[in-house]
Amino acid sequence: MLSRSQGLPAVVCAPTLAERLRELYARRETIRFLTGSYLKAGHRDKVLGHLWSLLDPLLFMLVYFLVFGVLFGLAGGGGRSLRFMLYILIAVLTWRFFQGAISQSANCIRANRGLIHEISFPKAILPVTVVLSRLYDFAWGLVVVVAMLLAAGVWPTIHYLWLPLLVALTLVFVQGAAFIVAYLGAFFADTTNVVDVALRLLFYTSPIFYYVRHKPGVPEHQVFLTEHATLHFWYMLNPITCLYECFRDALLWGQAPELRLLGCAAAFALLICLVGFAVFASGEGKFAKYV
Amino acid sequence: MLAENVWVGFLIRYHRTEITLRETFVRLLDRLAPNGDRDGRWSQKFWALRGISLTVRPGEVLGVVGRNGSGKTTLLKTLAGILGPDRGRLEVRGRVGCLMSFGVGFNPNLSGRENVFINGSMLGLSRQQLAERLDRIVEFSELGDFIDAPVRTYSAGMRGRLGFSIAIHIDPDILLLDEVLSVGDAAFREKAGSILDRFRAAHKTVVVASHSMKLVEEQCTRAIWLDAGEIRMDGDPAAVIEAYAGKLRAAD
Repeated sequence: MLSRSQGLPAVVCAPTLAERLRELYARRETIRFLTGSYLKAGHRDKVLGHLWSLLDPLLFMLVYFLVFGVLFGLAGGGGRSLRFMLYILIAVLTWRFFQGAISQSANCIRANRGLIHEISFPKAILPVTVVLSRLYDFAWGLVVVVAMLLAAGVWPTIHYLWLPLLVALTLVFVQGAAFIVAYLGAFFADTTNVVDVALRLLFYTSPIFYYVRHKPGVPEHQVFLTEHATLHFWYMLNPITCLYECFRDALLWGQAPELRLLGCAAAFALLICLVGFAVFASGEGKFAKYV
Repeated sequence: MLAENVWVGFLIRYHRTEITLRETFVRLLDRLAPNGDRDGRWSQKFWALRGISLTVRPGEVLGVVGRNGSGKTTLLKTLAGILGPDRGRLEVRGRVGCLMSFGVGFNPNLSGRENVFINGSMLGLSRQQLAERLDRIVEFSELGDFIDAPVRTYSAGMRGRLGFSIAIHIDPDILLLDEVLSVGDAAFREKAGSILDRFRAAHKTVVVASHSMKLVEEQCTRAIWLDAGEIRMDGDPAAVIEAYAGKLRAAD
């Protein structure tokens, strides 16, 4: 394009997806600034400040452990309690990342209506910023998890090498879902309600505080759903479930993530990210009119 | 950096009120029914801009006049890229700076200095450029030590000054102004006036929407008259204003 050879950016309506991606990359500094501002502002006034990034998953884990592990007896008792806590913690961390990103994305377009009405910028920056700020908390949470694993005597294995891939897959998956939810949230005010309910459902149908696979040291009767093959199959098709189990394989059980679960998570992640970005991009020009 | 070319054809905008899922569902049923949507009560397409074709060359100072509701703000927002055209094509080359309202996107919990970076980055500057211009921006805004205090402690005027200061120092190739030079106190207006002169001297493209005939006559090299979303007249500022003023007088 003529303008590019002159070094000037061109603004043409209806750019292609590739061009949009390039534009996003060009705006990475803005994304970094915005993410930093979300994080800073979120923690600045609080007494414990940045500590909350670490405390949040720990406290939730404790709650679930007390309720489901002790009260409902899902932990198995005795020496298995500690492992159950770690089991929960890994999932809670991933879940909090997903849930936080999704619920914040649902509102991110509306919440920034002033900005959208006044400045021209790729609106995809908004859900990306939301997800990245949550990723930051997630990353720190992983550090805490590893620390706790070491303290509990679960030594790192070579399967820790899977972690970067798993984190990347989680990020891609969450980002895709965030794009879709942000798009819907811009046009439909009801989205937050629907998202809340959907999140609740997902929360209970993913194995945060119960077992669904046979693992060494876990008593047979503690594992759910394995009798019904079809149900189990559909249950495991949930990408979030796959992600939890992959993380647990690498961190807690010291095994390579089960390949079919990894494949399922990867397929879903890529699909939802592509679809999500395309859907969101189709709305870029319209947000300012509806919000 | 030189300024650019704006070519625009058939820009039409769709305007609607809040949609809820329930409404969409009911609307769907309505359409399916035999007599559905006869009177078009669910959606009215309001075309704010109809078939606008316009080419603006570098160095032109274009004035846009028209009554309230004629589409001036919509035109500027579309040129800025804030609104996308429903039909037609728009091509803009170079960096666009909008002075429509200032201080949007300020994070109230962060200091003025931090917000300069965020806002400036949103408007298109790199961190390096912002660091270079930071001193000038702070000086222009006359905020002094307050620059390091959280923005929520600022008065509205201070916020406006900071926003305006940032917007000015973006140094865009095309400047879009929406009736903004007429608000603010006298000192502010004086500063704003000198900005326009500076831009003209630097041969940048400026598009101004204004109700002030005096401003358009004195500052613009070309003017268009926007009426109900269409361009009624395009050409020499004096002639356009003559025609527009004539119509206004006739309407009285």
